[in-house]
Amino acid sequence: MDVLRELIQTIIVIVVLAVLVEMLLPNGDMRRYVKMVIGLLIIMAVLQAAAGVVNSQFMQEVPAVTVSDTGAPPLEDIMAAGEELSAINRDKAEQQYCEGLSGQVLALVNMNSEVQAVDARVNVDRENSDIKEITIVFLAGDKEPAGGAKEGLNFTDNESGALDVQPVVVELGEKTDVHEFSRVNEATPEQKKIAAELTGVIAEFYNLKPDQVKYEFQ
Amino acid sequence: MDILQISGIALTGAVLAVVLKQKSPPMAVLLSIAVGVIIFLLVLGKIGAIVDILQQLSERADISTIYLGTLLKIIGIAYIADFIAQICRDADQGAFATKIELAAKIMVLVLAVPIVVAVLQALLRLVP
Repeated sequence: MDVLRELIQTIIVIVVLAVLVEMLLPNGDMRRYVKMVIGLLIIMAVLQAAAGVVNSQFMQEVPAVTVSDTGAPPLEDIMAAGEELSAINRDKAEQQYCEGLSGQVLALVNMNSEVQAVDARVNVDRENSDIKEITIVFLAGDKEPAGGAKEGLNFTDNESGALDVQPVVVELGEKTDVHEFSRVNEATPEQKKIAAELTGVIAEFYNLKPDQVKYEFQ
Repeated sequence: MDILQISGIALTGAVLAVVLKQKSPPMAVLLSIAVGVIIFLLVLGKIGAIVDILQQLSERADISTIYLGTLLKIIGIAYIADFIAQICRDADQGAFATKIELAAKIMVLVLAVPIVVAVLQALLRLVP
């Protein structure tokens, strides 16, 4: 009997709530739509109240009101995944753009035979994809000849005219020619001057301010 | 005596709007928007009391706050859409008003989708 009384009380409260909410509705064309939703909510509330009396298990089985109950993943998850994917694609595009620019800069700089550029680091503004800064890394000291790779290797012509690489002997022991590495970071004044001129050319080429293109020696 | 204040503002606005509509219709539209916003701000503080009562009743009836939140959102959407559509109609822009109402209807139905699904599932579970 107490259960029945409680059920009736709950239904009375739901009805009062529905009347109150209906009083709040606007008069326009939207009224019908909002009334439909209110009707559904009342059905839901009455069902829940009735289920609480008949079978408590039923109430647990009534799904919560979330978008995920439609079988699809929640909207927040979809949006988050989309944003993540967008960020990954943007990063990839930015990386490709930087690599492309770096290659262009290196090709332009290495047209000058006085100095050798080994790297060009390009910083791109994430907001509008503008170039923020370009740093060109020049090789200090004498520029390697075009066939520089051959220096440490022995090549012989074979019968077909192609080059064969002779076996390379690796000797372990104390390094004797330390002076070879001591010349690192030592650029001649001429090289610095040429590097400065080249950075100016690059800045002009890409329509950048002179202080946006820097150089360093290694 | 807030109702006197609100009525005074509305009446003054109406008279001014009628006068302005002859001379400068755009200013009349702006005036109607301003009067609407002022009246809304005046009653905004009292809406809180109604929401409190609704919350108490929903707790008493064991209705989840998610349901009530959805309901209040839908009512808010309906009022805003109605308000803006009226302003658009006053400015002789019936097409805009129709579009706003369409957008509001779609948003209401989107908010109602989870409730519809919940009711449907509950009803289907009742079937043996």
